[in-house]
Amino acid sequence: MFIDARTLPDASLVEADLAIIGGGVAGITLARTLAGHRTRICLVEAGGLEYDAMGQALYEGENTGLAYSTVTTRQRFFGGSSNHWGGYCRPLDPIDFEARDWVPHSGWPFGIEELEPWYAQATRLVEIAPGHFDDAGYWQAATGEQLPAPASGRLRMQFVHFSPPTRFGARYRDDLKNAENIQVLLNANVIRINATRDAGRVRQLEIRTLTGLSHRVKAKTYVLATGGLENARLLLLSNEVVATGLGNHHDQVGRYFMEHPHLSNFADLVTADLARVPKILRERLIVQGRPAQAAFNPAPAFMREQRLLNATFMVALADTYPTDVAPASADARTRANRDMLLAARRFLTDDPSPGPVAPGFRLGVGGSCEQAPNPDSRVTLSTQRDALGLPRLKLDWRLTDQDRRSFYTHLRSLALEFGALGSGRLRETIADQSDWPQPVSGGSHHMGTTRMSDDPSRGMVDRNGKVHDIDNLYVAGSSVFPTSGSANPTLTLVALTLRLAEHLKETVK
Amino acid sequence: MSEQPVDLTRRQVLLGALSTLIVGCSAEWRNIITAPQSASIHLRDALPNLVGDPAAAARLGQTYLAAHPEYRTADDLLNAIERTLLQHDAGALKQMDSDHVATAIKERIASEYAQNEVESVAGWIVSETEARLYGLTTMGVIDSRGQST
Repeated sequence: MFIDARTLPDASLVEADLAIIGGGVAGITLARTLAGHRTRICLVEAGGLEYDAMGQALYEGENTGLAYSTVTTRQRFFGGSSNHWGGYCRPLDPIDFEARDWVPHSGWPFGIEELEPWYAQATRLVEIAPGHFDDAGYWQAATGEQLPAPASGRLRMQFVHFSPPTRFGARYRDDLKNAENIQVLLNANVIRINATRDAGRVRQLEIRTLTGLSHRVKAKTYVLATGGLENARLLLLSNEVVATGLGNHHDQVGRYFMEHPHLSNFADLVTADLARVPKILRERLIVQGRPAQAAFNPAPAFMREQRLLNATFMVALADTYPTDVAPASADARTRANRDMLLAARRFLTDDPSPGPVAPGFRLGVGGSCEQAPNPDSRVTLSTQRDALGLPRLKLDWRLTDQDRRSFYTHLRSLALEFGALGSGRLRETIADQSDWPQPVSGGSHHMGTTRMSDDPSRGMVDRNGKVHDIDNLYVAGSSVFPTSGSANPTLTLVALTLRLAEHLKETVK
Repeated sequence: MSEQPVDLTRRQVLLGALSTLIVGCSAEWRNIITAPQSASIHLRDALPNLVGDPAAAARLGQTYLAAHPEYRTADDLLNAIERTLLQHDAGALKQMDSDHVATAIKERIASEYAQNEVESVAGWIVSETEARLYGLTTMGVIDSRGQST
């Protein structure tokens, strides 16, 4: 059942066994998994079923670190950020879960084996084929193209699956609508989570609509699933009992904000013979009706040896140089790329022809990096207020030298790999590697602000996502990731949420 | 077999000492000391099979040479390439024809990429041997028709 909170009488009280705050990927996954269960669920969604500019404006925030939009990187209506999701799916790597002595604050409370069964289930929810994420043999057989074996020992090939992408709101709306134990409260902004006097339990949620109505939701158990920025903000806003914010005894809430720095225009990669760059390396191929593409990731042994973070590179055909004579209009970049292709032709093709040749192609390179957990990269509250009268969030996104060094080292690896395979030459277009390629943007991946740890002084939720010291409050979503890896977070957050649902089936009865 | 009396001249003693020194010293110095005085004819002959477009290669080579003033002549570069090849396959060059030399150089270049034996030439990440080939082109060892001069 869907209810518009704006249509309820003012000061209404909604009661349930489980209140889920946020109707995004995590919230919908959790509610849907518990559909038909004996638990009475109230899913509280701030937006409606469609995009609304006034609601979206509540996401405006102050920015004191790297330039970052707190509005355009998320979506405040049913389905949440799946409404603008690109569909990239890949699990984290085993090394991402490890406590790495060269990555401060790294380490999950469990290894990837804990999530593997949930990853398998998650692939169905995001509507991708059963995962073949690092099985080159499978893709070789499926595409009929020989894939090159890694030559430098520094990189390996993995495979990204693409969701349609699944818009969770539209795709699973009926499942929630038809579930007798679920009611979805729309246009219901949670403005505060009220706790008991000892801060040991959540009492209720305070709801406000943009039309000025106030309601309450009371439940036995609460799950906060409003995304990596808003989860922290809402806990910080809930400061009636604990002045620093709910669950923030150890000053963890809002810290360790991580993105995947997304970079482009840092390199030109040229290739003379597309036969040496199998299609799946440079474009999305449809295999058994589902798209997939190869990505280049650092080899774990190389990361250990060089004490580096993780990264992902993907390439795509970007330009063609079809004639042996450069057009008069060719710019310096084109001339440089053509020169390299023509000079290195003997190493990049099997064509012995001495005559005029078409030089070849430029491949665009995109990079997405892991950023090390950094307590100074954080979400706090601004002095500015939103339309509901609440302090806006203040984001201070920071990157470290280690993040940058890892990126440039892996970029060098990409150059070495293509060189060693005789499939391309790479030109680094950033002369000064003491700085990042500009602009540094994110992937709309908000992670780490309510991180998971068995130690309350190192993370605010435990291995099940329960807030330390609060008996009936859980957090779901990528805000609980202690480290980010370089894989897009959706598949992992769905897997974690499925795991949480199983836990709640046992605990919420 | 009877043993011949050993009658070492001063020159032989010095040569012996030098040999000992060469064997005992680092690979880098050993290569310098044992480098041939003139580059292999096969290596020169192989060059046209290694460089695609001489004009394009020469432009890259110019940047490379500007960063490497130690290479003043074509022989300096040829010797450097030869040393690199000999380091990995001593004596091979003498037994190879130009086609085999070209193949060996291509393999060496691939190996240099794999081993991170590269440098940046105008931003391009280029294997050391490949960069030297472009430098040779700049020095006119390969003419505009792609022939070895």
